[in-house]
Amino acid sequence: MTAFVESFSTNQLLPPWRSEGLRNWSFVIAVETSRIQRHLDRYFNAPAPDRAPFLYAALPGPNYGLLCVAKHKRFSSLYGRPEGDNTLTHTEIYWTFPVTRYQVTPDNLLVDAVTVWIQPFAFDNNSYVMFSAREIWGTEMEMAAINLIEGATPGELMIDLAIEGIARFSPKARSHQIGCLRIGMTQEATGIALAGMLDDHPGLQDFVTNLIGAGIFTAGMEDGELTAGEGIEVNTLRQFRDVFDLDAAAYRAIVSSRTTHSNVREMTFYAGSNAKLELFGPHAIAETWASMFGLPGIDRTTLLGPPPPVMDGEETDWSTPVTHVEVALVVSYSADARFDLAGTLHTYGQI
Amino acid sequence: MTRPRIPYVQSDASQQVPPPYHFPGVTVNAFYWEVSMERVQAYCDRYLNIGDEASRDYVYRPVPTFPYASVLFLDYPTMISAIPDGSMHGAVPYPERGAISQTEVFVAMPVMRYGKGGVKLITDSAVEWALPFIVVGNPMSSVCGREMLGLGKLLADIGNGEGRYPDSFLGTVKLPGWRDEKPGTMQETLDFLRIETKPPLPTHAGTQPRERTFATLLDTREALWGLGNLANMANYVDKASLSLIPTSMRTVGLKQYRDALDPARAVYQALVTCRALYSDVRDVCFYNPLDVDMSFYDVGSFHEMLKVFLEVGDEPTGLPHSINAIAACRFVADIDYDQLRVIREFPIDRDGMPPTPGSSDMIARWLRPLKGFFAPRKGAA
Repeated sequence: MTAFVESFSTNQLLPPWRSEGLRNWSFVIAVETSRIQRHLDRYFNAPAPDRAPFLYAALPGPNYGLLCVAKHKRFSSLYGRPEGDNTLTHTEIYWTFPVTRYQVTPDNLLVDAVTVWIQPFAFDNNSYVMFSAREIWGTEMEMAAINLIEGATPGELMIDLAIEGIARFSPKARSHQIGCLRIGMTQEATGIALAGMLDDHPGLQDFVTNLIGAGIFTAGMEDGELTAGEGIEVNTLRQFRDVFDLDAAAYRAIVSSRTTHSNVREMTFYAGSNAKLELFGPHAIAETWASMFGLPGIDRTTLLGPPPPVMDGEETDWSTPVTHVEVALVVSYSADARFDLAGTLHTYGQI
Repeated sequence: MTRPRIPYVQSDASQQVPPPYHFPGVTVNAFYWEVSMERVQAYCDRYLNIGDEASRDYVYRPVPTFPYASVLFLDYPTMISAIPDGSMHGAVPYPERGAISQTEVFVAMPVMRYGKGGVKLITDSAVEWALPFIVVGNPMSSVCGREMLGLGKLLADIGNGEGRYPDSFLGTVKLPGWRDEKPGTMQETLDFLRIETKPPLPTHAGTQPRERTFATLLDTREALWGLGNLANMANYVDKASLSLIPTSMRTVGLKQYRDALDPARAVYQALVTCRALYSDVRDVCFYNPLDVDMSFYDVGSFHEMLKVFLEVGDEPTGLPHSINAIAACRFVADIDYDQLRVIREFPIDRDGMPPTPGSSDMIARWLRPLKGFFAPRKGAA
C-alpha cells in the first residue's frame, strides 16, 4: 500500500463524519429532466478515456431536486481518533437530486438499477469542511458567507449566501463578495399535512415516496420517535487537475458515499408558496444556476427585503439580476446524521 | 508503459483559475531566522525523499550555506491569469474575466536536490524552496493551490499593514484550530503568527542596539541608495541582498490525494515544482532585525505545524513562541508564476494490479533547454 504522507494542512476532518443535532431545511424544486441527463452525461457517462461500467439516467417522469440548507451545530470526524475530535460548527447549502444508476455488463446489458443522489454544487462556511469535502468526497463545494436567521417558530427563516467572485466579467473587473442566493420563509408559514399536499401536486408523489424509502422522511413512527432508514447513496465525480495540462486530470474517479439520519424529530412540511427562493446572477455563478434552473432572470427586485450589506465583515454586492424560483414543498427537521464513504466505484485511466 | 490522458471536466460551479499567473506590484515583507538543519532534513525525508532510498535516484537535503527559514507576507493587489486564449474552448477567457487580489503568508526553507550517481549529480541537481506552511486569504487561491499545485494552502484571516510607527509593519495570521486535543473541543479562529517591526532603516524609532546587527552596514543613505539601484538589476538582486530577496524562487511540493475509503492510503503522489519569477524589484528597505517582534503561537493543534521549523518542545505550551529574526526586509516586485512541472510521479500500489508506472523529469533547469522543454516525462522503472 502506498501511504499518504500526513501533514498539518491535510489531516483535518477525515471521514466518516458525524453531525449531532443538525437542523435541515429542504426546498423541493422541479427540475427539467433534460438538465439532469445533460449533467449525468457530462460527469458520469462520458469516457475518460475509458467508460465506467455504469450508466446514470434521470428518473422517468417529472423530476424534482432538493436545495438543502443544513446547520451543523456539532460536527466531527470519527476517523481513528478519540470520538468527538476535530469538532466544529458549519452551515452548508447544496443542491441534490435522485437518479438511477445501472450496472453495465460486458454484454452491454443494463442491470442492478439503484437510486443514487447527485450533488452538482455545494457551499459551506467552514474551510476545513470544504477542503475535506472536495479532496476526499469529491464534492464540488465552494467557500461561502452564509447568514442563517431562525425566527421564533420553525416556519420563520431567512438565509443569505455570498461568495468571493466576479460580478460581471471584464478585464477591469475585480473580485469581491457577491450575493448569490436568498431564501425566506414567511412568518405565517405553518406546517401542513403531507397527504393533502401530495394530493394537490401529484407529480411529487414518487419523489416523496423515494425519500421516505430512503429513510429521510421516515414513514414509521414508534413511541413518538421517527425511525431511521438505511439512508441514501450519493455518487460524486472526484477529480483533480494535472499541474501542466489544465484540460487533463491527474486523478479521476467515481466515489460512493452514504448519508444516514437517525433520531429524526420536529419534522414539518410547508407549502412551497410559503417560501421565496431568489437566485442572483453574478457571472461567477450564472453558469451554475443556468445549468440546473434555466436562464437567469432580469428582475431587479428582491421580495425578501433589503439584503445584508455586509457579510462576514465584507461588503456584499447584491446588484446583479434576480431569478425567482418556484418551490413546490418545504420540509424541515432536526436529526443526527452520519456520513460514510462506501468506496471508489471506478477509477479512470487504470492500465 | 505510460498513463493515458484523462480528461478533466471543467465544472460550471468551479471558479478555479489555472496557472500561469502575473502579479504586478506585489509588496513583500520577509523575515529570516536560523533553522535547525535536522528539522529541514526531517522535512525533506518525510515529504520529498519519498520511497525506498535504494531505488530512488535523488535525495533532498538542507542547503548548508543558507541555514535559514523565512516567513514572507505578500500583498497581491492584482492577480491576473496569463493563460493563452486558445485553451478556453469557447468560454470567456480567464484574462477577460477580471482580476482578484489576496494576501498570502508562507514559511520557506531552501532545499538542495542532488541527483544520485556521477551523471545525475550534474544533470538532476537543483536548489528549490520547500513551503511547509502556506496560508491565503482568498478561497479560490487555496483550492487551486491545494488541488493543482501540491501546496497545502489553508484559508486564514491575514492582517497585513502598518504597525504602531509610521512605515512600520504589522502582520498577523489567524487560523481555524483547536485549543487542545480533548474530545469535543470546538474549533475556533486562533492566533497563529504575529510580527511587528519598527520603521525601516535608517530610523531613530528603534529601541534595540543597532550595533549588534549586520543591518548597520546598510544604515546610511548611500548604502541604501546603492542597494536600491542594484536591486533594479533583477539579476543581481540575489547577490545584492545577500540572497534575502529572491529573483527566481522555484518551489517544490508533494501533490498527493488520499483514497476515499482508506484515508491512510494514497492514490496519487507527485513532486511538483513551480517558478515564481521576481522582476522590477524596487522600493527595497531593511528593518533592524533586533526591532522585529515575531511570535508563532504554540497552541493546541498548531503545535504539529510548528515542530517542522521551530525549536518547540514535545507538547504545546499554549504560549507565543518568540523568534529572533536575523534579517528582515521589504520590497515591491512584479511576480510571474509559471513553469509548473511534475518532476517525479511516484508509482502507486493497486489491489490486484501492478503499481502505476510513475514517471521522472528531474533534469536541472540549466540543462532543460538542451533536453527539450516540453519533452514528455520519462517513464520510471
